[in-house]
Amino acid sequence: MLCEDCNQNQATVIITVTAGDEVTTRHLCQDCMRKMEVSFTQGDVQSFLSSLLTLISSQSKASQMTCSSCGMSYEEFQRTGKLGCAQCYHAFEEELRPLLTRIHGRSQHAGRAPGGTEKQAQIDAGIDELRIRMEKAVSAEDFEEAAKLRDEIRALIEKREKENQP
Amino acid sequence: MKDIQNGIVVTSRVRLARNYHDLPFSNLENPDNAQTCINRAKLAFEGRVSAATVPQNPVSPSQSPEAYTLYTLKTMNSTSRMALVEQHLISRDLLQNSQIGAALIRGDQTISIMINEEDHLRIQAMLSGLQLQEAASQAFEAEETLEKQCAFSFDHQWGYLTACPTNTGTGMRASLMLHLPMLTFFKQMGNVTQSVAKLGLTIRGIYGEGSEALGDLYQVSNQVTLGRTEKEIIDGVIAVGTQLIDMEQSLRQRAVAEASLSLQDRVLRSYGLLRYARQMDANEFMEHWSKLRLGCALSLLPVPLSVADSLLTIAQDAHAKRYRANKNPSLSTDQARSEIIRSHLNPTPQEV
Repeated sequence: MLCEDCNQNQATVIITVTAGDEVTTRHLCQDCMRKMEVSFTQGDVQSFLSSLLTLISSQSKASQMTCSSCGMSYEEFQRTGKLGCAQCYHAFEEELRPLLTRIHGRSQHAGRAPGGTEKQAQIDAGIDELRIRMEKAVSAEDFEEAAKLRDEIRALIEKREKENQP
Repeated sequence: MKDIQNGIVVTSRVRLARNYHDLPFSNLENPDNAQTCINRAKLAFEGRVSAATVPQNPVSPSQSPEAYTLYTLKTMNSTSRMALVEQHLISRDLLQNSQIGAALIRGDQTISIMINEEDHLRIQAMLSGLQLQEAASQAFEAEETLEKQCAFSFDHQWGYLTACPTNTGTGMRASLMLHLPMLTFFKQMGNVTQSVAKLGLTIRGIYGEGSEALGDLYQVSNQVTLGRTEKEIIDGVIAVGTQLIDMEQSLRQRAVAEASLSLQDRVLRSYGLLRYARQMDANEFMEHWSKLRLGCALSLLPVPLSVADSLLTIAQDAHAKRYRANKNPSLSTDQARSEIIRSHLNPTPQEV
């Protein structure tokens, strides 16, 4: 198997990235691995992250994209690890979604919302996300997972009703 | 129980990353936007903010504990800036943005709001001992005050939007600073680091570079910020913190029971050096400081924990340099450091 980063050398190292519950495996050659190790052992999270970003999206054509609001290119984000503005989250959504899921293991915010408390819309968004996951679980015949998600949805609906009461 | 915790947990910290919805994240190339962020934060605490009048003397103890002071980095010299870093009131990253960086700091130093760091605002609440929930509620209170001036970037799926995707979601980093001399001595920290990583948390040395944690001080904090509530994050950090406290405490008890003499010897040697040495570099200080704090926690020394904890800040380089500048410019930094230490550990500084 060829190295997934440079596509030139034989892959001899397997690296595993654990983010939350999700485990990602990459096959790399010695050279690419060393590049990554250097940034990691220097304790520089930023450069480790950006090398990880480059790895993750090395096959995608996304690097050409730019955010229409602040003008930042995806390539620039890959290099610095920092986004330019809030709109970047939408402009690069397709690339960011797997990345955020990889970093955090989840893809739906569950904490505070503006105003200090969880708001209606946020609960609704949570329910939608869980429904999609439940349908997927059902079609994959993972009924145990589906039942778990069903219970989570029920709990959120109850919460929404409670918050609706004056 | 509380004594045991305080003997091991130095501080609890919660920081929230927030960005105003109508400005790009980085203000490095736009000083006007940077100033807008400073003005908004100042306005939010209207009537409670004063500018640092003597920027060479950050955080004067005389002011009211609830009043905020605005520190503008470009008006401060490098020693004063570093002193704020040593007090954990601003980050090293803010120093890199020194042309636009600022911080609003509460008189009692529990709240510090960094402006124009990686995100527009970094709201930090820091309390001594194990008080993570309390620190979180203080941070949320400051956040709500700031939010009244202008809404923050927020998305229903991704939560609070931050410059770096590692903070997206709650934007929250909850951390405990732990003093773990026994776990370090018995070389247990490597195992601990590995098992903590599996829980979406991280543990690292606070002072010093590489694997060596100076002063045996470690920070446990959450890595994951998306998909978990603030409470889940805090509970996770506390759960791991409590386990480390238990492990450290049982090793301490064993040392007291089985190796009392050698423990006392180590602690008292360090105490003696701290009390009488005439010059001490930062690394040597941290080594003896760790034994000093252990001795305070185990009541082997007539020194309150609070003195050890304040020395951790005021005997660092920038504080020693400031002391030298104010008191006696002929001293070296290491000599100034020893003078500071001696004056805090000896009943009367002139005693020896």
